[in-house]
Amino acid sequence: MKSFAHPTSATFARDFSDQKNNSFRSLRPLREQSAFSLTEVVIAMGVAAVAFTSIIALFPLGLNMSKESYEATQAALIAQTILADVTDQQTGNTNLRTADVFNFRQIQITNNSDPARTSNNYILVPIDNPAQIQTVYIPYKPFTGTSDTDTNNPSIMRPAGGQLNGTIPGWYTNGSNGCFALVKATFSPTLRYNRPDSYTAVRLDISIETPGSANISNRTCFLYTTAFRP
Amino acid sequence: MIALLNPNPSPGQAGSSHSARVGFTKDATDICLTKNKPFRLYPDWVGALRPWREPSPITHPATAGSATFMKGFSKLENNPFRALRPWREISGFTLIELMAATTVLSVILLMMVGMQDQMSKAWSNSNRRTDATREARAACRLMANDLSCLIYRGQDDDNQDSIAPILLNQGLPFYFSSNGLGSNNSASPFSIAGVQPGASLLFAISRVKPQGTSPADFAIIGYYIASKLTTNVSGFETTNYNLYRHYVPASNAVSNLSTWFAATNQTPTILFQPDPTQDDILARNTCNLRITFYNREDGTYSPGRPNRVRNGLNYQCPSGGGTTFHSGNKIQAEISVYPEELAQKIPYTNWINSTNIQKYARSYEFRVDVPRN
Repeated sequence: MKSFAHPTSATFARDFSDQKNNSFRSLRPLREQSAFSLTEVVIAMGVAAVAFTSIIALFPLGLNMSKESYEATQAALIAQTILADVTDQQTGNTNLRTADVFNFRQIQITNNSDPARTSNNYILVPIDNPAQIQTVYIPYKPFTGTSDTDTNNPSIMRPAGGQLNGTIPGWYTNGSNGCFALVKATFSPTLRYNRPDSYTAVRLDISIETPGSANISNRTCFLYTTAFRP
Repeated sequence: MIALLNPNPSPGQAGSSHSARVGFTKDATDICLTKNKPFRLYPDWVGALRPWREPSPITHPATAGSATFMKGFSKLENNPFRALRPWREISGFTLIELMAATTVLSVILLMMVGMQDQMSKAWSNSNRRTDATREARAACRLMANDLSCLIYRGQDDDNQDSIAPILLNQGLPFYFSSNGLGSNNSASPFSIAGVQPGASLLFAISRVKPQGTSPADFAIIGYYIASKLTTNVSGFETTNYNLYRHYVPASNAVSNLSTWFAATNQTPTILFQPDPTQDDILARNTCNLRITFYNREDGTYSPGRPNRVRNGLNYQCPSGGGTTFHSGNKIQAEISVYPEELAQKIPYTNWINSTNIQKYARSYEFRVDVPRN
């Protein structure tokens, strides 16, 4: 009986709480020994959830890599196209150069890039007032088969309209469904503050913002800055 | 569990369990562990996790002596606590439990492996698309550089003393076909192996930047789409369309140009000799090269009308019914690029199908301003 002393005092419970001295241990492990408590399970699940979430969160990042690469490439090409329109002196109304290349430059605002249809495809941007900043807003969407240059109908990013100056259009601020990118081209004077001539450079900032369907605060901006001489 | 063995607990000793225990005191069961000191088992102490069972009749262990007390307890049949807890808590998992757990684990593992497989494929496809985009971007960049540096000269520019006699009153050679055909949709003068039907051809002379200690010079450049048969590491043969860049450096371009000027029959094939086995692949899995000159000779839009540029780069734009030569203009180029995995699935002859191009390929377009004099 000494080996199993009568628990006449408070030490009885303490003895049983001591795992090593617990005579019932081999018969019936305490709950703390035999299984996880609810708290432990919840904590374990929480840790596992955080770990899984972190791992799974990596996959969209990888998948976005392709999308971002595509957007960056298209943005660079769009900017290059706009710059080509601006620096070229010849494409314009009825296939001729503008009347005064020192006063106006042109940017394509329709999806038809056929060079023979240029009378309504471009918007004139005045650059004859160096003190005035000119801003052009252009939405870009994918178009197929819009002219005879689009053999086999590839899906090409083309302008779907445009606005020169004025109030910032709502589709630019809020985004527009179906738009791949929204473009903001800003013409600003550089060093000279008199009428531009053939020696005066004009600064051009082209902001390509993707995706075009997103709000302005949620878009990625690719900014290209250049200067051209009339 | 300790509280279960606490003899005759008073409310003060019950601690936090007191309030819950009071209401069930009448249901307490006496368990005799020692002589004259019965224990009380309160069913509410067992808790909701373990069902309450009526205890078996218990024989007082004191009669068996101290040595047999534990021995008796070790026998489950004599274990007074047996009725309070099921077998499995003592004996471990049963086979059924293990099988059920294994099944559940297998299902979870299968789901995770399947998800991982899908993720892996998506990741690979994403990488291939990124690779295709990168190649297209590099190709567009180089093309834009070459096209924006095309060298042109009118036939009237013969009054410069710096021009060699053989070059006097000579237009610089230039070949452009918007649809790969020859003049008036005749057969192309070039016989490029595996060239894509309908794709544009462009061969010209372009300036090149200074390299090392060499000054700026010019080179012969050209762009076309042609197929190439390749064997991958697994031994499978695939045929893909690629964008080729024909390039002759300045060291040979000058002599080739002199030979061409001296020839009696100045055909394009004498100067421009594209060869897919020798030329560089600028972008793989690329098709549908479209090159457009602004403004073209005819000036008026008409479906099917050839996009013709006359007299090399001295292309003209109409003005008032006549033609007026202008010294600068734009060139637009388009290409469509297939990701690697789709390029292997779709026969290359079907790449130029409109549905395939729109559904699987990514198309790129850019324009460059041709330099003016």
